[in-house]
Amino acid sequence: MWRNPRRSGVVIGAMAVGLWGMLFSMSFGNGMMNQLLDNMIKGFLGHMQIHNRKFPARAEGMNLGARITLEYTIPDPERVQKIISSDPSVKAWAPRLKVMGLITNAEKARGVILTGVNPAQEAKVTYISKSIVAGQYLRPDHPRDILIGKWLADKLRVDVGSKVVFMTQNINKQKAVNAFNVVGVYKTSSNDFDSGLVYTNLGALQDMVGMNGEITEIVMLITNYEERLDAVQRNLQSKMSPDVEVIRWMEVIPAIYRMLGLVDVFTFITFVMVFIAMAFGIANAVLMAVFERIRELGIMKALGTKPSEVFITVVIESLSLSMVGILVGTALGCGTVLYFSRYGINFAKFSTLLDVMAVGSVVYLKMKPIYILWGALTALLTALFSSLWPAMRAARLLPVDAIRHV
Amino acid sequence: MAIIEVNKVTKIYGGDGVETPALRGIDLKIERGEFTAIAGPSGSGKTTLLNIIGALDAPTSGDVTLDGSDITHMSAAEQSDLRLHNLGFIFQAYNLIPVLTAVENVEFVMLLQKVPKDERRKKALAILEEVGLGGMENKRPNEMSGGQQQRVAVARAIVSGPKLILADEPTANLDSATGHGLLEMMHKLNADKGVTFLFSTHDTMVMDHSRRLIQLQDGLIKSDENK
Repeated sequence: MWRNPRRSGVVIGAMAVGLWGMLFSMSFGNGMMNQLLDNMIKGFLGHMQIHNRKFPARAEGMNLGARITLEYTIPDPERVQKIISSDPSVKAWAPRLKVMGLITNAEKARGVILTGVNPAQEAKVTYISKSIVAGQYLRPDHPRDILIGKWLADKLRVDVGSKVVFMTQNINKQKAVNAFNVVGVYKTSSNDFDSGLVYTNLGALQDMVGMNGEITEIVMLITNYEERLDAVQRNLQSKMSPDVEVIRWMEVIPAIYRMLGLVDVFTFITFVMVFIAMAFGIANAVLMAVFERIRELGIMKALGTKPSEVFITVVIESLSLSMVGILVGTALGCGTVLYFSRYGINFAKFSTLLDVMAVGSVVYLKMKPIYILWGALTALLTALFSSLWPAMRAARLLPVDAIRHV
Repeated sequence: MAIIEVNKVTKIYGGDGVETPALRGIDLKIERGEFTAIAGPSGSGKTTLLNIIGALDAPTSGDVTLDGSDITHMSAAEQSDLRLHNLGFIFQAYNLIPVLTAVENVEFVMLLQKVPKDERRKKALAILEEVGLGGMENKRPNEMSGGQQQRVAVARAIVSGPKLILADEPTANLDSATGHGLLEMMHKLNADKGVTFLFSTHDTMVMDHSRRLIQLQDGLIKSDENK
């Protein structure tokens, strides 16, 4: 196997590069989607939400605010809060009241969703409190405080300390107007988010729209949510009254869930394409190896090597070289992913696109251990199937013709 | 019983609509212990006949038996087995496996025969010593002269104790002194161990050493003489 280093190197190289590329691309896709999901969940979505069953909680596409209404608040919110407070699966929760309206300064106006929050509780569920780039987070006893996104601040040309006016309809569908002071500006990885969501104290918003004590939403973080989300949802739902609904994040924005699935599909397609290319490379290299050694194989057959033994020799050689390639490729792939999982890849030039996707301009790769298993298994199978035809050609060589081959 | 019986063997090569008969009907018997040369001009069919006897090629018609067994209609696997356990080959172009050393080339047949490692190494080294290549066991073919390579080929052919050794123009690529030395060695093996040798040749030195000379011409036996 090692007596022709050039030939062996081609097979090993093809395998190593293919596997390296596969691990990198899958980890990249996974990392990007994890960031997207993380930003969404920790930005505003949470793992689970609770609403009035009639409340239009499910987003249309990526548009969260299409149908926000004050009409359907959570019935008996104290009971609901008592249930979730006592459930050990609920890591943190926060109440919210959301209204759609217009935010204006002296010159400009924009449509936004104003979310009334309990600042302390909200800080435990989302990272909005850690995303402040100017000023400070909401202060609990300051009903005039408003927190706006940087994108919105830039568009409205307002800054910390600026005064803005928010207009909406109250519960009686009458005009409700209130002035706020910009206490802080936040920035997330999504311009859509930054442009559309503004925050104030829950009590201030409840007063403004005449809904004292009422909330439209509870957002929750769940412990070990990846494994337990469905079970926790079923458990909580069973304890709620029939007019209260507990839904998972993928039900709030199914578009994200579908996008994640689509990325999985594209990653798989990339995976398959890499391996098809690799298979051709390996088959070509193994076939070259067989043709280069026709005379040698003819001599072996003349001396008494059976066709099946020639077949197995070619296949085993291909598999053995591939094992080396797999080790090299896995080492390179893991090393590269480890580096970029720590330092990330900066896509500042493409930040607009990534911001639309709420990923952020620096993508940190993330590998699942199963990728290594998939990669190694697929590589071995690729090596096996790629070597079958060359091996059959070798096995069928007529000794007398092979020996004469120049 | 003859070790080899060739019955009405013909071989016709065809390609692009042109048929070329290499053998036109050969009947032949080779007894155990013979030291026989098949001679003839180029194109007479001697290599073709040797390849058919060695189950390296198939006749167009006719059959060949080895110790009474019809080898012509065996499967490829059976023929491989036959060659492994009964035949030894010495080719004009030596045909050593280039990536193996001299001792590994000699061991190769024993490896296929599943002889234990220590035993085959011991036998291979002994045979190399016998053919005058002691000390050269770790050389690769490209590090040896033609004569040395052919000696390795002879060692490989005889190490497993075959019933019959088929040598196709074994001295063709050697100078006369080396060729003579090789022939003497093969003669000694024939005399001491009773190994049957069948040569194809147009080397008069080989013809002179043989005890039976079969002359082929245009695919037919022209003469068959015991000396």
